[in-house]
Order: sequence, then structure tokens, then C-alpha cells
Amino acid sequence: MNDNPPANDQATEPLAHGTPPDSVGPELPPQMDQECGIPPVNEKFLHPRLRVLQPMANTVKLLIQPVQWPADGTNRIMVSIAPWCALTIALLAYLIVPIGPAFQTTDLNVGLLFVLGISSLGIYSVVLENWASNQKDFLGAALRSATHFLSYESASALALVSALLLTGSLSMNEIVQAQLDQGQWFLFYVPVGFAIFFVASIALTNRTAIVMPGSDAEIIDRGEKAPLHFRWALDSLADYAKISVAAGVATTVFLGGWLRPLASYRDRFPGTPVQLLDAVPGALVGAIAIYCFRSAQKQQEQSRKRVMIWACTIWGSVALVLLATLFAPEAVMSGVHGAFWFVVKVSAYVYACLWVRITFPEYRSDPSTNLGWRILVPMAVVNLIATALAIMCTQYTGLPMRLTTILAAVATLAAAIWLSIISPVEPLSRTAGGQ
Amino acid sequence: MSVLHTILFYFFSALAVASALVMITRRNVAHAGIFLVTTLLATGGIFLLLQAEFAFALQIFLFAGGAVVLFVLASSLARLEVTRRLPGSQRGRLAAAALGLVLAAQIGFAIVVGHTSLRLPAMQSARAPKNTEAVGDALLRQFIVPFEIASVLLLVSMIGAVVLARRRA
Amino acid sequence: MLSIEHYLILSLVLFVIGVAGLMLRRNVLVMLMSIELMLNAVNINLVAFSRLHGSADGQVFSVFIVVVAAAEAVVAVAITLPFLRNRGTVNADDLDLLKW
Repeated sequence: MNDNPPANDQATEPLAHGTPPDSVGPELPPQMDQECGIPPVNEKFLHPRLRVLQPMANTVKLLIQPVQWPADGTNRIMVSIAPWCALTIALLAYLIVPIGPAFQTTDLNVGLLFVLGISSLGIYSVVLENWASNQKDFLGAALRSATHFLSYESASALALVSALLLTGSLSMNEIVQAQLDQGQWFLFYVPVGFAIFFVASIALTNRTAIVMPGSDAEIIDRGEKAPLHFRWALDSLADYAKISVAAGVATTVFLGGWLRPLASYRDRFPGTPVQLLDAVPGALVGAIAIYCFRSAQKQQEQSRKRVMIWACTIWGSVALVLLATLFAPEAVMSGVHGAFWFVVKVSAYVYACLWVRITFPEYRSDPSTNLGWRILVPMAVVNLIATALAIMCTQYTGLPMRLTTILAAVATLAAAIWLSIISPVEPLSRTAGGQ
Repeated sequence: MSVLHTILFYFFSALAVASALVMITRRNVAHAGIFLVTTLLATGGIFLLLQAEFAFALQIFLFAGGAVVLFVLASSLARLEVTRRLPGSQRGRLAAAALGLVLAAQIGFAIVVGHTSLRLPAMQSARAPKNTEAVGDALLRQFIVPFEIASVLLLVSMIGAVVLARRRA
Repeated sequence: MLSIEHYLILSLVLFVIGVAGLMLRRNVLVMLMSIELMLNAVNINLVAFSRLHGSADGQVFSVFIVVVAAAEAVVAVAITLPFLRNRGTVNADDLDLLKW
């Protein structure tokens, strides 16, 4: 339950799963409880069977925490509005991400541009909140954050454009449809573009878990006296929601959206209208359910056994739904299976992002912006030109698209190697910080 | 359906006008910047009502997310003046108000005289040629020369900004 | 129920507010923001007319206006930054080096 949070739940059950004080975020400071006068949620006082509700109890306590302002001269309106802005921006972008073939809130003509534009408004919440909190180093930290954000935004936009060359449209639904028509995820046509977008999206949502002394994140975290309150929860939630948005965009553009792998392979079971590869999700989830069941029998403790049986029930019901919809009308089946594949891909992307975040400490801001401007942006431009040349090659000479795009990727990687030789990025130094 | 359009139009335009009025009366430059963002977002809503989605996306991406970010970040370097009232003399303010009224009267007169009672055409169906395609088509066929000149302009302004804002060592 | 005049009057009101801001405020950054507001008002005008006549020309022009506005904002801020560094103020009344 404390593993990577399923990405779609960010929008539906935000505060229960989105702000885990246990696994990925900072830990509860021990002296916090004496300062606010609300008795702590102590594990020993809860009945053992209720202990599974511990994170929810922590979350409720987070919500009812009395409000504390960071410093004396803070502009209370701005400091309160800023986390809501961040959250709104992150959730707005999910309006146009297609979760299934007909499972999209609205299909804007300029969907991708809309998402990029809305994400670029995220700078305001960072700058506003830290500036309005009227503390000594926060303005500098906020400006450095803003600069960092801007430098990776250009790289990610250019990387997305290089995948857009393969479709003619900015509408998210059309992009997925083009991946279906061409029979290949765009990941395999522009792998370098995907890599650039991945790096840029990790850098854009840049609160790392390991905070070096003296860095921006430490300054910002240290300034709050009792940092765990509702505004912090909103900020945290917006943080994870932004990763989720980046995952949704990357899935739609590069990983094929709601398509299953090998989407154009349509052999069916003999005699039935069920496609061969469509039974794979059901079989996979069923295998997970059976594994849970068998692992439940091996558990010693009663509570763990109960948890595994509960997990087995959940996975089993998902498997049943997936298998049952194989025989349902086409719309229902494509919707449910599309949603399943979308959730799998987004979860994988979010998992990879969080994995990278937890592993590496935070870069100092100048090597980081160096990477953004001097390596990623030129690499993305070269990638764009090379992909365009590859597409033209395919159209005029008839070579297969895969060959030409692989050549384009090789050219881009050569350019990247040359760039990193001429502009070296220093790794972390001993005094990483806001110098 | 058109009732919804009318309501949305009045909502967005009220938001835009109110934000603009608040924007020019703020003493704090950063607050003025934030209200400019709300004005631009409301104007983006107006563009969506006119089914100009590309203009809407550009408005948010470039105007609100680019130019105003620049202003807000630049205002962080400026010492924010805290004055009791808006600076400027009484006479200057009267002159500004008079000039504004004259301008409004002129343009209003032009609107009233040119009244054609042309209704806007009905909303296009979703299968009509898409807005982005039409704009892109026009940009890259008819208006290709201004397009290239605009890119040269952007390059020149970038170089100029870097040169102008450099510290003389 | 919405006619072209609605959009034109909205554009007019925003333009006049921008002009008023330009004339009343002495802070250079707020004056630049008022200029952006005026350009925005013109954009509404252009897009409304493009919708009326059904051609994309007005929207293309509005794209160019956005581009030029961004470029001009960049240059204007780049001009004010050295003033900030040297004089410490952005009041337009204090930028009088060229006065006699």
C-alpha cells in the first residue's frame, strides 16, 4: 500500500494516497506535536486491526492542523492561493489526455499545446509562494527554481514536437490514432526524443528525496516551523500530480496512449471475435491474483495473510472484469482495455520518475541549468531536424521508416556526445547549495 | 446553446475588465503582474468562445506563460515602491481621464456608425476543417515571408536582450 | 444573440484601460504591462473579425502580434535592467538622462 501510488488515483482520492508521509516524502518531525496541541496519532493506542488506517489518520491530522504562516510579513492571500494554483494547473491538464478511445473529457484541437501552456503557468505558484512568504533566502531560491523550470520546458517542448512530426495534428486523440495507423509506438521512432522528455520531466518536477545541505529545497523546507499542514499537503499533491501529468503526456505521445502493445496485430482466436493479444491483460492480472493467493497461504502472521487475501480479491476482480469484457460489445471492451493499458503505462512512467528521484541527490542549480540549456535543447533541436530528414527520406526513397529513424537517432546521439564533450556538466560538489 | 455562449461571454469579459482595472491600480508590481495573468486567461476564454483554439493556446503559452513571467521575475529585482496613493499629479490624472474618454468616444462612434447588425456565424461543427490547420496553412503559404521575418525578429531581440542586460565587467 | 459589437466593445474597453494605465502609472514595468494589455485588446478585435468573415487571416495576424509583443517585452525589460542596477529605481520620472 505504500508502493508507487497508482497514477490515476491522484485525481480521485487525492489526500489519502497522494501525500504519503511514510514512504516518499519527509518524515514527521518529532517535536511537531508539542507545538500544536493536538494529541499525536500513536500507533500503540490503535487497535491492531485498525493499524492499517494509520496513513489515513495522519492525513486527517494534516488537514485539521491549525494554520501557521511562515514568517511575520507574509502576504497571506498569496501564500494561500499559490498551492491551489499549482493543483489546478496540474489537474486541468488531465482534461485532454485520452484514457481510452472514447474516454476523454474534451478533445481540443490544440490539445498538446494546451497542456504545455498550462504547465508553463506552474512557475507562478512556485515564485508567488516563496516570494510572498517574506523570508530571507526564499526569493533567490524561488527565482532559481523558476529559471530551472524554464530551461527544461523548452527542451521538453522540442522533444514533443519531434514526435509530432509523425502525425499532422496537435490533438491528443489524433496522436494516438496515428500510432495505431502506423502500427508502432512513437517511442520506437523517436527514442532520443522520449529520453529527452523523460529527463526534462524529472527535472521539471524537481523535489528530490535526498536533499543536500544548503540547497534550495533545504532552505525552503527549513524555513517552516511546523511544515506539515494543509498548504504543504496541497503543494505535495500538486507535485505528484505534475509527475502524473507529464506521465500522461508522455504516454499519449510516445508510448501509444491506450493502445496495447502490437496494436495492429489482430489475429483472433479461431471461431470467436476475441483477439489473441487481448486476452493478455486478463491472463496477466489473473496470474498476479493467483500469486497473491499462494503467497497468502505462505504467510505466518494473521494480519499479513489478511492483507494478501484482500489483494488477491482486488486483482482477481480486475482480472475478471478484463476477461469478461472480451465478450462485451466493442465499445465497452476497447474502453476498459484501453484504460487498463493507459494506467499500466502511466504507472510505469511514474515509477521510473520516482525511482530516479529517490536515487539521486539534488543537483546544484548551475550544472542543472547547464544540462538543460547547453545539452538538452541543442540535442532536441538536432533530434527534430534529424527526424524530419528521416521522414522525408522515407517518403522520397521508400526506405523503411525504422531504418531512417534509427539513423536519425544515431546522429542525434553523436551530436549529444559532442555537446557533452564541449560543455562538461560537473556532478554534485561537496558544497551543493545556493551559491 | 447560444444562451450559454452569452453567459460565458459576459462572465469572461467581466473578469477581463475587472482584472484589467485592478491591474492598473496596484501599487505592488508583482500583484499587477498576477492580475495581468488573470486578464490574459479571461481573454483566452473569449478566444475559445470564438472557436479560435490556436489563438487561445498561444495566448496561454506565450503571453501568460512567457511575457508575464518575464515581468514578474523582473519585478522581483525592482525595489517595490510603497506609496500611499498613486503617483502623479492631479492635473495629470485629469488629462489622462479626458484623453481616455475622448479615445473611447471616437472608437465607440466608429462602432456605432459602422453598425452592420452582422451576426457572427453559427458555431462550426466538429468535423469542419480544424482551426489549427487553417491557421497553419495560412501561415506557411500566404504569410510565409512575415513568418520568416518574425523568426529573425525573435533572434535579434534575444541577442539584443542578452547584450543589453550584460554586466559591463 | 452575440453580435460582433459585443466583442468590439470589449476590445475597446480593454484598450482604453490599457491606455489609462500607460498614462497614469509611472512604474516602467506596469507601463509595459499596460502595453501588453492594449495588444491583447487588439487581438480580440482581430480574432472576432476573422470569425465574422470566416478567414484565418485575422488569427494569423494575432499570432504575429503575440510574437512581436513577446520580443518587445524582452527588449524592454533588458533596457530597464541596467537602469535598475545603476539608479535603483524604475520610476519613469527618474529616467531623465536625455533631458536638457
